Amino acid sequence: MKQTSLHPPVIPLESATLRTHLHPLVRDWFFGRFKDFSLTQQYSLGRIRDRKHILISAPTGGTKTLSAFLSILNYLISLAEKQELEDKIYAVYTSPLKALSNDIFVNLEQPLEEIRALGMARGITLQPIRVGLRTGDTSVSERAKQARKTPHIMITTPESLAIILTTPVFVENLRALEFVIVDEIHALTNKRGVFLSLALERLCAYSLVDPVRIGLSATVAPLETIAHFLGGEGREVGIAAVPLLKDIEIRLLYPGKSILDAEEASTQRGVYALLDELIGSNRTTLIFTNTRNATEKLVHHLEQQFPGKYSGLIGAHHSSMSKEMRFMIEERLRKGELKVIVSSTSLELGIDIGSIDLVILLRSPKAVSRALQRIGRAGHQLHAHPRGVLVVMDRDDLVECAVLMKEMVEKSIDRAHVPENALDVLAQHIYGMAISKIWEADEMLSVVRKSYCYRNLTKDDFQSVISYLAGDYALEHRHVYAKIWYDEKTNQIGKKGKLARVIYLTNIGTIPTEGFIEVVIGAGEGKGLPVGKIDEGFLERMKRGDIFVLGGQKYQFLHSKGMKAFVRAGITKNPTIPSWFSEQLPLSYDTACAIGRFRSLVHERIKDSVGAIAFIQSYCYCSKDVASEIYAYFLAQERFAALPTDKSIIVERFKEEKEFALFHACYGRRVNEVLARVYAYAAGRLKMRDVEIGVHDHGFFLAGEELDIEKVVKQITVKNMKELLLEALERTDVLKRRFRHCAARSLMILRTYKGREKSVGKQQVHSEFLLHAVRGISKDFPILREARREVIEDFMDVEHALRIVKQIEQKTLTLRTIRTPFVSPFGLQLYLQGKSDIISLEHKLSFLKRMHQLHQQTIERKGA
Amino acid sequence: MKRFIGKGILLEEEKERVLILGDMHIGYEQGIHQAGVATSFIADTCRELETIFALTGNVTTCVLLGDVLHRFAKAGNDEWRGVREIVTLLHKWCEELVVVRGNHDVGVVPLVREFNVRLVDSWTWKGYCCVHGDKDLPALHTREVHTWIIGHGHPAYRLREGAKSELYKCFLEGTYKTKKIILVPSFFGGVIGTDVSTYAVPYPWAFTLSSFSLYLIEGMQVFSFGKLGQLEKK
Repeated sequence: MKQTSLHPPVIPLESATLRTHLHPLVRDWFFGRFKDFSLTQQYSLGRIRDRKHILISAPTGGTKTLSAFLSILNYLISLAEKQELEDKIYAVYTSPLKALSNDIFVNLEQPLEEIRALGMARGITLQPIRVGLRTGDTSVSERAKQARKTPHIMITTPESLAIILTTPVFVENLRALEFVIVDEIHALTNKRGVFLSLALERLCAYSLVDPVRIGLSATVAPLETIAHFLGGEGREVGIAAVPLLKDIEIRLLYPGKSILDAEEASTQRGVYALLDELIGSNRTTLIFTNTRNATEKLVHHLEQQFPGKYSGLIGAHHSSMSKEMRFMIEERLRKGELKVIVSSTSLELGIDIGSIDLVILLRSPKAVSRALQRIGRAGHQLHAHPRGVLVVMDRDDLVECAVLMKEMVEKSIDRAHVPENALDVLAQHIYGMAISKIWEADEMLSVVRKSYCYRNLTKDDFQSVISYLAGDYALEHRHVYAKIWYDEKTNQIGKKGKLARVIYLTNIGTIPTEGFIEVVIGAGEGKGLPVGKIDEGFLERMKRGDIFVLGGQKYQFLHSKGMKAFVRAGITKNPTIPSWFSEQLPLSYDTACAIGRFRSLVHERIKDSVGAIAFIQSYCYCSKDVASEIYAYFLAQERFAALPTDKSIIVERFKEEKEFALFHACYGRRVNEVLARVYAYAAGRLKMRDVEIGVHDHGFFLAGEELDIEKVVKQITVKNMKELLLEALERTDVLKRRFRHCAARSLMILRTYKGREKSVGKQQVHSEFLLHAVRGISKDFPILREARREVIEDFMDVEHALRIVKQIEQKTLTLRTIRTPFVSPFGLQLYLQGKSDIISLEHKLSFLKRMHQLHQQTIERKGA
Repeated sequence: MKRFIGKGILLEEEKERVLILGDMHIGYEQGIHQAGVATSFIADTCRELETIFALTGNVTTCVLLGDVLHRFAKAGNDEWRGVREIVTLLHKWCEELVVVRGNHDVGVVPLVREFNVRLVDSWTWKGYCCVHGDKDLPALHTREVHTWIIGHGHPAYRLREGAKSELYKCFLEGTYKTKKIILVPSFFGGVIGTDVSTYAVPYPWAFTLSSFSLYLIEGMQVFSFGKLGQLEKK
């Protein structure tokens, strides 16, 4: 591994010093509108003026955007006064949000207009400073206008930036780019961020000067990694960690007198009364749920439970809603027309939503950073105290939220994971680069390696992607439709085909298109009510009468019609098919570990109820009632089986139709996905039979015939774990699904071809073929390898799972097996949630033969 | 006499031997070639045909139940090359090659002209009437016909045990009015088919599939699972 570059902390400057930095017009405009510089501005203005890279991490509402732009505006105004503004792009601003236009107006157009007017009043004529907005929604005429009259500041999204980079006229205007702003960088620790990081390196490769990189982030950790991610290799990025001035007021509530009341389905209605009470005592309330489905359901129930009370005063906001609907809701929110707004994740990012008095988080937000981001939306003005309430619905939720509260108060932020060496995104960019010009392969590789996400990319991996794009993997050469050419003699790379640019432009991006089937209640109570969405592939596996889990609830599949699946709700029977598709957010590893530590500390005091409750109360900053509930829950588990901690995994064994081994391993679902699969795979191999698994944030279970857990655990070592995991994944739906996404990102499957958009269904069929084909070509086909990497590193967390296995090997973590008559209190949620996948070891033909034998035996029995 | 051999049906009577094969959909994979990865099911199809013929030996007639090419109208060189390879192989093992016209078979004249293939809407032999199955035809209702052999629907069945499930291509055998019906799975290996227990299979006749006998196929082996309706009840 290479040494990470240093990222020094930025020291804030005195207000008086900063004042002198500003152009008189800018200074007068600024102090005409604001009393003084904000703390964020004190941190950032000087460093940007000195043309040094900076990562600004500040709480929501910390005037970040203006802080980033102020020095740039100051510079442009001084050029405009001297009539020295050139026809070139000086600054590029990129944000993951498309809904930028309104914020841009407030942050840029308005100040520019006011400064211009101020200048006019003083007899100073400024050259006009042009701002251009380029997103997927920008019209052709607008784009043409931008090509004719180059904007000085270009506002864009990562995808549109990559498009700009293949447009010769814009590339010319970017050759002397001076600033790049990356907004909401905390929301880019995913493949979209990887995509952007490469786009930035391409941008810098074209530019004759290295533009100043300015990253804007909400609460995120570790800042060094994010700074490195922003700056790429070899750039020193100063970290402006603007302290959280805001004190957060957080409370933890549950409906009913005790948490057990809240768990009862019949009294769950109490939650609406509780919410109504909280909404009633505030002017504007923002409620966050964890899924889009829960958002819709909550709005529906509030309107139903309190007829007329919320009509016209409540709104939903989530990513599945149309852009127009979301705009309308945001607008009404800003105007103060709404009393309550319910959202899933879409309002976490920094869209201006006016002032919110209270934020309610319904169920655990699963990570400290998310909790802070959500609660930070309250009092979205500088120096206003954000107020938040965590409303929990069951005992696991209660413990999770209590620990989250502690972490929030103590500002212990969970660490983000940035994907590395993603070969699908790389393929897309190499294609884009080849479209722009002919490259020397080594030069291209060195540009790619400047990105943080590819700093450790091997030449072999790079070469394998080149080979794929150049069509070298073809079975028969005459079939090849390569995207690029690669000349081994000259080591040069260039585009292939007349349609290259069109294919690239119409298929760019990293967000996978999904074929979702809407699940609607088709009979009984709630008929016609949509309850969520499932993947098309998931529906394919369902038979009439099957029971499956969606959003924590059980439904029975009745029939499907078009893009809708009709189900019956209120099912008590166990699920019949594994729900490998889940909308639920995983609990972060850091928070899960914090829960493990908390359990240990309570365990030490478990015999002293008074002392333990007092400890919980002070440890989690919670009320005595909450502390008593948590203690009662832990005590019940200790008495029934044993309390699992960060030092001991309890394996609970009981028998139902199959043998169950339930591992109380509190590491979050991403880690447990790995552990469950490798243990199930090892167990399956012993008998060459399939093993079913269920995965939860607080544990996982294996269900099969005769599980020899001791033997199974011994089989998994740090040395062989990854290999076994990859073997276990080969036949799973998770891999198939991720492969489809990777195939689309690497342009193996084109979403749009020759002007026609391909349906998701068609993409799915093609991806099945492709998977079959690439497996035939090579087990190490780069895009298949990428799908595996994405599954084990991004969707799962193999790194931390390895750490757990190591601890088990070194015996610093013990595994204790306890036989129980039925499932323990801690295991209940996991058990109820049902199976999430099956680790398949039995061959298709063996299964058919065995089932045929069973069938014959049944007939014979009947005959006898 | 009738035998299932892998995905094919062998009819034998008075020294004549007829092999019937379901939809081939050659060229289905063309779309993915555009993506830069060449793959072909032709080699797989040829390998499978060779295995079947190794078991049947030479036959008098081979009947393809339509949809030989996935997109005749737009078929390019690669598709025709695939057709050539398969037809050549078939001709090696059969005296006569018959193609029953399917709904995908538009503009199939080159097939007849270049490859010595008999193209018909239906093909009747000793009371067996082979049709593609996308539409009803008068030939099916003649008195001499006792059995209909039908392609088109790509029937498959998902076998379950607890959480485990696997989808298999299948034959379905039953009756409709006075005729015996055999529904043949697609020969094409890329897609398994439509699960008949959950989804409606697009035939123009109202078959009561629950009363049909189910035969599941994996490789060259075929297993009887009794009546579909009874299996479903279990």
